[in-house]
Amino acid sequence: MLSVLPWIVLALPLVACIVLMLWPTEPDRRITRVIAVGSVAAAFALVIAIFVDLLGRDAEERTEVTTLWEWAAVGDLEINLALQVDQLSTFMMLIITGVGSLIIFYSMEYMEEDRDYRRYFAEMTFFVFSMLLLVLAANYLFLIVGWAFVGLASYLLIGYYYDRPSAVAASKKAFVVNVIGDVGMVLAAFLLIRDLGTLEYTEVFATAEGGLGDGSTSAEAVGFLLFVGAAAKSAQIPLHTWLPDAMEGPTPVSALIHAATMVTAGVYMVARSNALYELAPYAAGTIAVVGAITLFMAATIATVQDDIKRVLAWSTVSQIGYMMVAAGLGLYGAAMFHMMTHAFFKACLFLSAGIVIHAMLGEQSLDRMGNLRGRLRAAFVGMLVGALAISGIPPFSGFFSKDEILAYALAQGTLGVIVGIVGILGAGLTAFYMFRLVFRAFYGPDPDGGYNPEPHVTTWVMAAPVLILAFLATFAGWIQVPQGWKLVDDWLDPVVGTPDLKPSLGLEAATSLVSVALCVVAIGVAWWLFGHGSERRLAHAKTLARYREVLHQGYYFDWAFEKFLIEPGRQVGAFLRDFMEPAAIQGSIRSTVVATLETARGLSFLQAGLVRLYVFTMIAGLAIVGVIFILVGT
Amino acid sequence: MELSAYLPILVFFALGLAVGGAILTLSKIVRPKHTLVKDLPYESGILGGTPARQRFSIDFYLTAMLFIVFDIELAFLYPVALTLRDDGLLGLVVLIVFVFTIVEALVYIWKKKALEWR
Amino acid sequence: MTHLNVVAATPQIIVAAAGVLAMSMGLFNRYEIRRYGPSAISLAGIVAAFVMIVLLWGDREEAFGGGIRSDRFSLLLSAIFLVSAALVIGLAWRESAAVDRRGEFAGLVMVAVAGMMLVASAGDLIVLFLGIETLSVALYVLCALEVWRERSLESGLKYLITGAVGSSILLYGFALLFGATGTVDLAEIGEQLGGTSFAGEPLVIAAMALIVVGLGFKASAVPFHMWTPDVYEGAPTSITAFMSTATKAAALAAFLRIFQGVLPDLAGDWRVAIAVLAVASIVVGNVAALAQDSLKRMLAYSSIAHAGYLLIGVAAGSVQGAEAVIYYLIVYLAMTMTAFAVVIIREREVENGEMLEAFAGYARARPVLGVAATLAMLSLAGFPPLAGFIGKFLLFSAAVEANMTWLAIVGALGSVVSLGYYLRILGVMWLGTPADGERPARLLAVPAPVMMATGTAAIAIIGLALFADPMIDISRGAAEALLAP
Repeated sequence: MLSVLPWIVLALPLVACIVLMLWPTEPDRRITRVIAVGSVAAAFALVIAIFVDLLGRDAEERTEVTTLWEWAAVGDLEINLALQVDQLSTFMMLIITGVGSLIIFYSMEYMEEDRDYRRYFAEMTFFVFSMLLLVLAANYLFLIVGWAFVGLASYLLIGYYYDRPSAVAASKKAFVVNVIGDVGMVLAAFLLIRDLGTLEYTEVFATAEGGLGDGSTSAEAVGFLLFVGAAAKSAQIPLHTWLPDAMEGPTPVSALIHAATMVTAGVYMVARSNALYELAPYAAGTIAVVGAITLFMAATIATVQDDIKRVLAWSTVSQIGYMMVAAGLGLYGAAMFHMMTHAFFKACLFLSAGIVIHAMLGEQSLDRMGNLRGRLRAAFVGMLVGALAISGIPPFSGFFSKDEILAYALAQGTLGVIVGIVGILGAGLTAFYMFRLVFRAFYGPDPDGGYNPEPHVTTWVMAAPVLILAFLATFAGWIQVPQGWKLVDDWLDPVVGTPDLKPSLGLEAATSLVSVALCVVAIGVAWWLFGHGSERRLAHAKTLARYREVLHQGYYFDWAFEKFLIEPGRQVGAFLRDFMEPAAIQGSIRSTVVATLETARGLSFLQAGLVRLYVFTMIAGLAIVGVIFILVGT
Repeated sequence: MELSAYLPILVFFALGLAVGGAILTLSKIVRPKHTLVKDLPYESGILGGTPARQRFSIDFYLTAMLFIVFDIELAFLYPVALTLRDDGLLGLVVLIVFVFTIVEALVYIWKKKALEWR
Repeated sequence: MTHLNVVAATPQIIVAAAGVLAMSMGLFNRYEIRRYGPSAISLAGIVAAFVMIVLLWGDREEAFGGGIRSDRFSLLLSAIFLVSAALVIGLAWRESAAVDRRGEFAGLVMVAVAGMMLVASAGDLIVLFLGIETLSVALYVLCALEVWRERSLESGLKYLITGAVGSSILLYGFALLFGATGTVDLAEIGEQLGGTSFAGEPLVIAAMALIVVGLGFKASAVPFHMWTPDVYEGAPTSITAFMSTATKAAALAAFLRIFQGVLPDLAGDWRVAIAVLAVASIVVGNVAALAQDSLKRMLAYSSIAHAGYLLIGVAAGSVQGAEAVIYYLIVYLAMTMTAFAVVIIREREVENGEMLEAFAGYARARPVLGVAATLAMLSLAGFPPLAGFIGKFLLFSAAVEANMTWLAIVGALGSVVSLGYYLRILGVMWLGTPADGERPARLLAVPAPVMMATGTAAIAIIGLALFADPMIDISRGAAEALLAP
């Protein structure tokens, strides 16, 4: 059964996408809904069937690779279109299809007023298909294919409102940054081919130690290059700048792609490649350090954002930083556990924000919000639960997953202690910026000028997914309890292993106490600053203006990229166009204006000159080639 | 390998430069000096009426070009004629193909009215 | 005369004869014959030559005493040229140059193909040069075929002048190679230079440098590329498509024939120079393409960059490298043809149809064409899992295996940069708003032959990805044939 089911799971959203795309006219919205929601929900049901099937097996027999066809064979290298079902991919599939079907269900209502209803759902199902391909692939090549596909889906959905220039620019940025990551992964694949002669997971991991060598340069190179891919996809510094801009897409897209699933693919990939990272301690250490830097910087930036979705976007960057810290330290179980709880509470937060935005006809600025808690109850509940969960207040899920990362990190030697402390500080900041959002949007007085029109109440179609996710965000943490049971770790253990160094009871207790205390203080400060209207907030904003500006600019990453990479590139291109190619300009002066003999003579002079230049370049090139030959010859 | 192996090339370049330079300098020294009167076209003692650099009809060039093409192609026939006996049937076939191609080209330019004077 | 074996040269003969015949068809007074005769004869010739290629497929045979070789390499490359010619004849169905001068158009395309086939199947230096000149002279005329258009004339003239320089450099290289070895036969040259006695000979080194430059010119590699944008832009678009696919394939065939097939033992000497050309082409081609507003010029620079990618495979100097080059040439044919097809269709509809702004919202108005263009652009950029990605993957991994990882890195970074302009085209096509009103101006019905050619090329992009395996197998067979005794 396991040889067929994953293929059906994979095919369902793809077929849905194709049917929607090929539907001759814009189909009736009911048909679109049934196809989109039905396919993903059916996929979810089948994934549960797979999960149950795996549960009934011994731990060692839970990996199953099925090959559909041999795609390409180059010399000894064989690349097959094959899927690998195991604990890790099943875990990911559960999140993708589960959260995915909730969010697509929610979109039915959210996208109601948009044109191109069909295009939205076709692209969403295409995304689900791509993401499933990414996690189900049995080799690095199809991982890269899925990787590129989710990038494409993300590009399409960020640019969904194609008449907004900012959306088009954001989608392009996201795509290009992601492709930088793809290049890293492809180069890593080349190294694997060169040294191991295979890309299949099972073979790579089995032969890695012998083929690459423990701590060897090639192992480190593979580790670093894979991480370039992971950093681009998972928005880690310095490749993070695309994610906040990606909020130009519709809110459910942000919830599914840019919070719950796609952006965590980097963490999945690092966990999947755990056998390689064991051989590459420096690469793994780099991941932890980058994760720590990212989580802290992103959390600070989130404290000054005034756009409700941008707060959540920076918060996502920061939370993925936690996962990266865990993955870099070898705490794969903890990383995946946090990924799961994050998927729940972050999707919950985004969908709640979506309700607010929808109710306010597209308004996203916190300045235009306030005192919403009575008006939008479902959003308030979702936002509050999500905020409590992400801040790590017990008994909400974030507490269990975040504290596991922090406590285990502190037990992993010097590097672990450093990143662990950064993580605890980050947790305090997280509580601060999340409750800043909650207090500003839902408490205090009405915004200046009141609401015009009054925010409209949501239907159950949008409320139900939020409440389900709120329920999960509350209780999902209980499947893994410090010093108690560890269902996620045990489930994933055969694939990713468990860390050797475990924190003592005292350390866990101390970590929890400190971080929870810090969070409570942070929430208190947030209440003092933001709980009663804008007066205190604006007063402090003035005194802190200089620091706020740095944070508003996101530590000037965008500015630096623009200044040092994009602008010079543009100038080189323009230089080539304007000076290296007068012919182009000459060509654009159409003869309608200058059809006189005089100009013709002028032009022919120019042309003759140009051809001389061309020939001269060729001869110069000949000289260069000659010199190269002589240098190589001697 | 030794750089000295490139010495011949260097010598060759030097020689090329020297010869080229020498020829240019020599001709500059030796060539007749121009004056306005000397440059006048000689028309049996009669003063020239129109400037010599007038435009020719493009048909001159076209006809001249076509003549050269066919002339050179037909010049190939002479050597073939000498060995035709030794080449046997194959030679004959090759020759026929060759002549056919030329005739084809002739027909083509004929039909294209390239031989008519406009 | 014992080694005549005309059968092995039938594809070349058929194509050349079809060319001559097609040209004469244009002379008839009856309109129907003038209009459809040349294309019909050419296509018939292409089909016949293709059949002969399939029949001849197998180990090496020699015709005309070794002057022409028919092996898997030459046959596969010939097939590429033929397919390219067939697509171009289809695409040019209604192009003005092709309609008014149908005889010359089809005839010269066929003559050029015959020249290319000679290049791919040359057994000695003279035939190789003959082939290169045959294809070049035909192309000089083809570029200038729209004589009433100044740009077209300029294009042909520029190509003629620079081409003459390129050819003479190449010929000089051949002469030195002949001087060093005393023979023009490729196999004998290979035997002579296989030993060590000649390897460091300055004459051989100089010959190789000159040949690299001469062929680099034909492949439009940097810094011998300056003519490319002007010529590509001025020439009739179908001819541009033909030049950037078939001519490039012919140049690469010559590269492989000489360096991989004849001088493999000297790889240490020539690979660095070729690698440098590859890097320069990738960098200059991709960066300059970013600033272009004309799709034709952009594709011209893109073709320069692709010459760079292809040269990576040559520089690898291995069977894998050659195999990757051959496979990528096939893929490149499909995707470039599709890209140019869209330009050709648009050019017929509006003035300045090659400019980017003419395509604003075009894909929304013409979704099928839009999807075809999207496939072509993404594949050109090397987006997985399209055929372009597989091709680049093979090329770069050949470089890595040849211990030239830096080449692979440059290539990969180059394709990131290339996304900048390919995405720009797609962005304009799908998301742009036309200057006047909702729909792009003047959508005309696309003639059936144009549609068929476009569709074939676009479907091939997918087909080559789905059935990569058999195609790679065939390419490997061709690559191995280069070195077969």
